[in-house]
Amino acid sequence: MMTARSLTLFFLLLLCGSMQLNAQKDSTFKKWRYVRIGVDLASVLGSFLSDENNRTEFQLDIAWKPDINLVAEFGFGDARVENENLRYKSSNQFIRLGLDKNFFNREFKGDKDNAFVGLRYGISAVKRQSATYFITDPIWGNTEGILPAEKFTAHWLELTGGLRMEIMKNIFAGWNVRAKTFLNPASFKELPPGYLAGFGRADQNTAFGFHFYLLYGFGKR
Amino acid sequence: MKATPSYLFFFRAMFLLGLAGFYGCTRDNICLTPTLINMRGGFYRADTSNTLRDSLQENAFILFGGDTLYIQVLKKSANLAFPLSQKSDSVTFYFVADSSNIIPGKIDTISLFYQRELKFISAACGFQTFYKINQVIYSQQVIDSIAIATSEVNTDLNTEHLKIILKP
Repeated sequence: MMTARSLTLFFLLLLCGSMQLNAQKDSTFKKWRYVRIGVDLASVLGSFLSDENNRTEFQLDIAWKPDINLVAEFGFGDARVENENLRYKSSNQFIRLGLDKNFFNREFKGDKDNAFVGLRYGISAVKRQSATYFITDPIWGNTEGILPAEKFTAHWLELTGGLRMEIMKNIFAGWNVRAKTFLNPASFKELPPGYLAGFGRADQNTAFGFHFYLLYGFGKR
Repeated sequence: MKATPSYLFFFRAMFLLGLAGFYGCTRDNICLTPTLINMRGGFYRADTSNTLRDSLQENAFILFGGDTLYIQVLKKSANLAFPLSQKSDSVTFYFVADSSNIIPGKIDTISLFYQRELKFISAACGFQTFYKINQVIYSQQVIDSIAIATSEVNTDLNTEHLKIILKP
């Protein structure tokens, strides 16, 4: 079974490997000139298919070096847990900052198709409403209780890898997979939100995600 | 935009692979973790050299529960296990050493006093209760003494919490 640690090692090796691949100098590159902004369609589709959470995620990236894009991702969402053991709602806004490192050199001026690995730091403001819990106990009798509402901040790190290509002029599509781990799981261990937009299922310290971005790019290549 | 056919093929193949992985990794929201935690005890007798040995119960049972009483039959077993109450800070159970001869002189009453702590399992399973046993009060019909071997009652399945030492 691939653990979060082995995934981290895998992505770091990819990152190092990609640095070797595109170490050549690209004199046609224009720094800070090309920006892309887009939406994560996997979140939209996931929200449509799920009756437990809604989430919307956007991405903005800007070319910093020929092989490195600085990335900001932001979004919001809400989640609902409703089963025989627990009932509560939560909502959050988040921002992730980081970079994507391309694998391959540009094949021609303005070439933006590439595979990449990246790193993100995520932070989210979370609001959890009061929660009702039930514990079924046929021997001594069932238990029921209420946990008061809570606000907290979640921090996490993500490793990502994927592909992105220009499907029409200045329109890009691309997917990436992510491994995420909380930096401060202790601060909400009493009862985490059922789903944290930007992170995923928050009842475990590690989460995996899949994103499919549709982006519009503008500026000089 | 000038993607080569091989790059397009690679992209599409990887996209399908990613999509398959996404659906494959989506976990069902089903609870598979037990929400009740057992307190476990072992029966012992001291041998002639005063060393404690497991004491297999041939025909014993314990009686416990709230509104409904539960019987746990102990046949050729030196162990008992049952969940503590999550509604109160103590439980009382009864140990009957010989089910074929139920007389007051062969029944012991054992009361456990403990603290409770609510622990989150998952969104699907909700909470379970951990305990810390503080005190044991017992009668001494067939029981010689009871020691708290481990006071923390949690998800560790290999821990014995009570050592019930029977009279020789």
